[in-house]
Order: sequence, then structure tokens, then C-alpha cells
Amino acid sequence: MQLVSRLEGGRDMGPLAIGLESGFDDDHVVVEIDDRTVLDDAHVSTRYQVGFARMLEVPTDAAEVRVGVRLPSRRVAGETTVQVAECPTLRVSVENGEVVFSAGDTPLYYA
Amino acid sequence: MPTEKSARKQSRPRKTAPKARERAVVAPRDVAPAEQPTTRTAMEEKAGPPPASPESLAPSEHDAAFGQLIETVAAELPRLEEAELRAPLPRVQRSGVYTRSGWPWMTSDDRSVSPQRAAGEETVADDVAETLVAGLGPRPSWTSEQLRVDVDGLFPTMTISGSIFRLFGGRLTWIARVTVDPSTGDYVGPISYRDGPAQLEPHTDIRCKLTGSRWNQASLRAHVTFTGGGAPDRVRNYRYQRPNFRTVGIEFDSVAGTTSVTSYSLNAHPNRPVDLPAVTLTIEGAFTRQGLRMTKTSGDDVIPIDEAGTNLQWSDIEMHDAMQRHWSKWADVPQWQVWTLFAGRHEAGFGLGGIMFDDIGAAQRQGCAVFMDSFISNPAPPGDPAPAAYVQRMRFWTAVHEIGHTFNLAHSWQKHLGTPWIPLAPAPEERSFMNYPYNVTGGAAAFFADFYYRFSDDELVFMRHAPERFVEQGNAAWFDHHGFEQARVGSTNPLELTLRFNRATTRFEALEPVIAEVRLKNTSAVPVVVDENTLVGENLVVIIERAGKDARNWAPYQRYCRLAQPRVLQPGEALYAPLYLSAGLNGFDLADPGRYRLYAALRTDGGDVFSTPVDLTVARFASREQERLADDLFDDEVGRTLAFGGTRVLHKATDTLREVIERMPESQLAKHAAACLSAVAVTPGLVLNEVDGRVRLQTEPARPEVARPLLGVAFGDLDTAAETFGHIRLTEQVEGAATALAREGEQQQGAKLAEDLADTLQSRGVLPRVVAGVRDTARTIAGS
Repeated sequence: MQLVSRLEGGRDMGPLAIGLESGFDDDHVVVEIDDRTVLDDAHVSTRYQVGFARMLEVPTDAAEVRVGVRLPSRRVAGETTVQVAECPTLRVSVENGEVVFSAGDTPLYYA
Repeated sequence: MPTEKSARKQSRPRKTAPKARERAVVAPRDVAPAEQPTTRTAMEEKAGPPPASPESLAPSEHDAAFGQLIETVAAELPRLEEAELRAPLPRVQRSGVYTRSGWPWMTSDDRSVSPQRAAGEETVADDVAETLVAGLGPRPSWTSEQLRVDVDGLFPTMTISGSIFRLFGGRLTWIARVTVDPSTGDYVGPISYRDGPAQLEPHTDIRCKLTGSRWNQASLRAHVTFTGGGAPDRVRNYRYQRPNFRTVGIEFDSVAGTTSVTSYSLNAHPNRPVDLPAVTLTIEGAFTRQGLRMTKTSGDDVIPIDEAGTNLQWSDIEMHDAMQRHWSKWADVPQWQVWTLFAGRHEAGFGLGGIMFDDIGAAQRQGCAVFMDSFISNPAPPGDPAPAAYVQRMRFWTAVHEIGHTFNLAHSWQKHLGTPWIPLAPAPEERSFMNYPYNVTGGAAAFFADFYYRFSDDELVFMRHAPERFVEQGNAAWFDHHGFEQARVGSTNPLELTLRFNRATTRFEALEPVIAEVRLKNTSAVPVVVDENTLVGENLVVIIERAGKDARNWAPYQRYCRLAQPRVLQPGEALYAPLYLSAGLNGFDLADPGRYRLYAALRTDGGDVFSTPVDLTVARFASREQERLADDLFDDEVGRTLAFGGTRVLHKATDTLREVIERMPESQLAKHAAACLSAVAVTPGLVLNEVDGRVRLQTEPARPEVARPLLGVAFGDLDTAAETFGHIRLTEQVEGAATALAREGEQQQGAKLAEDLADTLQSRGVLPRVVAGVRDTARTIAGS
């Protein structure tokens, strides 16, 4: 797994917690924050006993970030904009061939 | 059986035993109204149907004496409840598991269940008759049936299900959602789910009548009428066995420095339903009260933190390794056992409170973990009235939630994902252990305000009624023999049945007769009485299954019908018998080259006992000669001759056997052929011949000069002969030949043959008393 989560320069405002949740099935997944790759993993699968595939915390100093999620192997991609202060957590799922985002302030807690 | 791993586990120092926990009790008056069990006292049963308004204590159309009785009982009720809290009584219910099993031959048990057989009433013997009528020939028809009645007790789901297992007929699970027929009190409903061969249960509807008293569970019976589906109506009768639908063992281990949480007082936090019982619920109790009897096995082991690696955070592989190392029940097989680890933190971080980590290998879902150093230990919000209970509650919920995953339960909001066993809808607001409290509308406060520490109805239907392989921890894909193995492993009989071949390899030459040995051993510490002749009678069943083909019930040419002779088997003592498996009334079940699996089962007074399956291989034909001979060899007369060890009258068979010796002198088959021919030649015998138009018994004299070379072919190399005849049959045949030689004046040759046999058996590790017996024979012959 390649996780690139630190931005050079600037100050971290607070992390954006991203949870890749349901619908991932041994997929190649690329996550980008404002065009910077923070995750590039070839084998991402949802583990339904915990309800997620990956959890990552991305420090950011921007109030608003653009989050892109691509699944090159399935030619599926999606993008969203997140107001980090109001919505510090972002849940990402793949449903019916589409990337679905859900931003909010509920912590990413799994069991 | 102890293993190296369990021995290592036992050698590690253990924590002191945990303090005794208050036993979890649910008093009937303290449960939510929907859960109130509908019980009637014994006196009410005698009095007849309850009054129209059961809650009313005023006499209605009943006489004044009965009204007085009601008031007296009602006045006693508070004191009964207090007594139950102090000394909990088993929940009085009719729900639970009922069974019906049978052997191909009816027993007195079968008759006693239905002494007056009604029209359509079926017994196990009918299973046999159906099978034969279907034109399948003699087929294995050992049948076991289980009925699961789920209509009262705690959280009834109004479901009745059944499992039918027919040895090599397959296993079928059927499920019916039922309602009460108000006119009869019977439970009726359609069979809405089936898993397995439909022919095992072709009907579409059931009507279940429960009889007997809740107060005497041994008297409980379930009478189920199966209708519809174009098949004749059938009635089957089941006996009550137990109240719990499943039985599971659980072990708790903790990482050093980590607290385990295995119980919670339900009323410890005020944020709860007002009618939640004031009891302390253990993890085991949480499952047991819902029909899944869970008992703690050995455990409380302390696991060194360094097993989590240098980062002191647990990966799934590290936990799996710890499970294999520390779990006393570890086995890479399906079993109703769970291992739970209380640890610090997973490498995924603070956001993972627990995980069912065991999703690798063949047998999955056996282990789970709870991470105390995670969000589940978040302190209570400021101002919370019971901050310690707040945290304890969350940890307890997590533990039961993870264990729920080992039963193959999905999250409440993800029930429709993956491959659900039946169509399920997501239930994101459900108040179940399988839902995240913090994900419902209103968050954890809303969840726990309405949570009764239970699983949802469809989760209970799954755990109580779904096909066992879907639920059982570690279960793999279903194989035909899997049910046999379950029956074998589940047996508690003190006797052990073993089917074996006393040879280095279970690979047989093409055309080589297959002779097995069966052993019945007393593995207990006390003497056991058995019938001396049990291994040669009708109670022994052997199944021959060829890979990819239907299984066949071995049908020997002969069954011995003997008066039972009690024999005391001391601890460790055994009975033995040889089994000629190659041919029988079924023909030649082991004729074709390929792989086979053999099973044996024996009915004893102490219950059925099953052998471990044995695999063997029949090699391909080594030459055209063998192929050509096969046509003559696979003949009923030849089969009988080889099975019985010789013939004086089946001349076609003896001609074939002579041809075998001539054309395949080095083969194992030639040894068997020579043994058959020599047995006849070395002893005189009577035959029925027609002489001058009259049928007369005539004596055929022994011909030792004919026998001697044949004996050389059969037993010249006794060690090789032992490989193919087996020890028991070899001993019988050689001792017989030696004795016969002595009777014909060849004592020296006879004695030497017997003495050589004793040496061979001794070198092969046969029981000393058997070897001694053969040497006695040799001495007797020499001295005669």
C-alpha cells in the first residue's frame, strides 16, 4: 500500500479522515486530494466484517479540498469537494458502478 | 487429544481465575411484554383451556372453586419470582430441538413413538421402503432428522425448521414460518426455504402439533404433518431433546495488561428501556438466552504483547497466529467453537474497535478480537450519569458484536450485500447487536434507549434455523461425507469403531480382492458389555463411495443371525472381524479402477458409533490379460467363491480361478485364487451329486498332493499374503490349512505352516495373545 499523506510546507489545519467502505472488490484504487495522490493500492477489498476497506487520515491546511477516487481496473471514478472544518470525515463506497461520497462529522468508527 | 500446541498453552502461567460472576437471569415479570412467555401451570392444564380473558383473575364461566384457585396462585406469584431470581429455573417452554432418527431396521423406539399408526404416519422403516420402491436397489438409508421449534420462550421467531440427513442421500434443511391455528392450537405454515435435495422433503406445508407438558420436557413430542407438493401426506413424530438450537464453546484470552469485558449489568446505565431486566448479562448468557447455548471452555490465558510485533499493534496475521498458539480448541476444521481475544489496538488504528479477523485459510470465522485501546473506550460525554457503565456497555456490545460475526452475521445495514442466504433488506435503524449504536438516527443514546441486548428476528432465524454450514464457525463448503463426519465427531459412545487395512498402502492391484478389518474397541475406563457377534450381524453397515459416484451400501452374501452372546470388553479391549468388501449382493462395488472412500457404522445399545472414513485406490489394469480376465472374474459365482473361501460345486468359478493362477501367477489375486482352491483340496467334503438318476451325498476326499503347490502360491510368502488377506482372514485360512494337513498325515508340514504364520504375525505387530494362539495351534499339530 502506498500512502502519501503529508503536504510539504504550510501548516496542517486538521486531518480529513477518509474511509473506503463498501463495494471494493480487489480493486486498484487511487485517492487524490487536490491532484496529489494520497493512496495508490492495487488490491483494495471491502472487509464486510468491519465494513471498510481502508482508513486513512490526510492532514490538510485547506478549508476546502477536492477529493478524487479512481478505480482504474473498473474504469470507475468520482470526485467531490469537502469543507474540511464542517465535514472532517468522508465515506467512500462503490455502488452500482459509481463512486458514492458521504461527507460528515461522524467519526470513522468500525467494529 | 492433546496436541503440542495445547501442551505449550497449558505450560504457560495463567492469570488467577476471574471472580465468580452473578448468574444472568431474566425473570419473567421483568421482560418486555412482548417477550412474556405463555406458560400454564399443571393445574391449569388439568382444568382445561384458559378463560377468555387470561389476565383477569375473576372467575368467569369456571366454577367458584377454580376461581379461588386462580386467586391463590396469583397471590403466590411475587414470591415465586423472588425465588426464581435467587435460584433461576429453566425457562418453561416447548421450543427447542426435537429429533427423529433411525436405522434401516425398525426398533422398539420407533414403535413406541407411534404405537397406533395413523394414516400417512411414517416411520424410519418407511424411508427404506421408499428407497427400494424407487428402484434404487439396496441403498444406504440411515436417516437422522432434527426439528427446530421456535414458537415460545425468549424472542420466538414463529419458525419451525427441520434438517433431514440421509446417509449418502444428502442433507436438506427446510424452514417454515408458522402461525397458530386458533381452532386447534397447532402451528401451520408453508415451507418457504429449502437447502439440499428436494426429494428428501417434497411437501410444501406443515402442521405441527406439540403435545406433552412443558413441566416435563421428557414428555414433549412434536407431531408434524407434511402436505402438498404432489406427494402423499406424511406424519412424522419427534421427541424433545433440548431447549437450545445450537451449542457453542467460547474461550476468552487477553493480551498482557489488557482488561477483558465479559459481562455487563443491564441496569447500570439509566439510558435504557424501562423494562430491561435488572440482571448482569454475561457474553455467554447473551447468546444462551437467545437459544444458542454458549459455554466457556478453558481460557483466561495471558498473551505476551510481543506477539503483536515491534509496533505493539495487532495485525490480522498476528492475531491468527496467536489464535493457533493459544486457543485450546484450535483446529482447522468446522466446529462450534469461538476464540475471543481482548487486545489493545489494531494496526488500523483507533477507529477499529473490534474485528472478526479470521477470514483466511480453510476454516474461517473461528476467532475475533476486541480492542480496548480504541474508540470503544471513549469516555462518556460530560454530565453522563454513569460514566463507567457507559464505557463498559460499549465494550460489552463490541464483544458480542464481534462474536456475532463468527456466526456469519452481517452488519444490520449491509444485510443485502454479498450473498445473503435469503433475501434480506438493510436495516440501518435496527436495535441489534449487529448494528452500530453510533450510526442510528439520534446516535448511541437513541440506540441504547431502545436496545434489549438481542439479535433481530431475522438474525435469530438465521442462527437458529439456517443450514448449519452457514452458521457454524469454521465451516467449509459442503461435501457428501460432511454429515457423516459430524455424526462421528459428535458421538459420545464409549466404543470406538475402526475400519482399516493392515497393509503399508491402501492401493490395491486391479482385480485384487479387498478385505478390510473392523475393530470395536472399548475406549472408556470402565467395562462395556457388547454382543460377541455384533460385527457379523445386521447392526454393521459399510458404505462404499466412489469419487464422483453414488455411494453404495455393502451387502455381503451372508449375514449371521445368532443369539446375542454378552461379552464384556474391558477398557482397551476390542472385538475384530474381517470384511470381504469386493463382492456381495450388490455385485462388485470395488471393480473399477479409481479412488474410493469407505465408512462403517455400528448400532450398539449405547448408540450408533461411526468409524473414521478410509480411502483406498484400485489401480488400473496392468495388461490386456487382466482386462480379459476381468470379464470372467466379475461373476457372481466367482465373487461368492472368493468371499466364502472356496467351492466344490461352482465349477465355472474354480475354472476361472485356475486360469488366474496360470496367467497371473505373481498377482495378489492369484494368492486368493490359490487359497480358495487349496482350501477345498486339503480337506474332505460332502457334495450333492446325481448318480444313476438319484441325488446322493458323496464324499470328496482330500487331495493334499493337489493342495500343496496351491498352498505354496497362496502362503509361500506369508508377509505378502498378510498384506492382501489381512491378519484375521490370513490366520483363519492358514490355521485351517495347517490343521487339515495334519489330519491328512502331514503334521510336520502343518506345524511348520502354523509356526511360520506365528512368526509373520509377530513381526507385523499383531496382538501377542493372537500370536500365542497360533503357536499353540502349531504345537498341537506337531504333537498330534
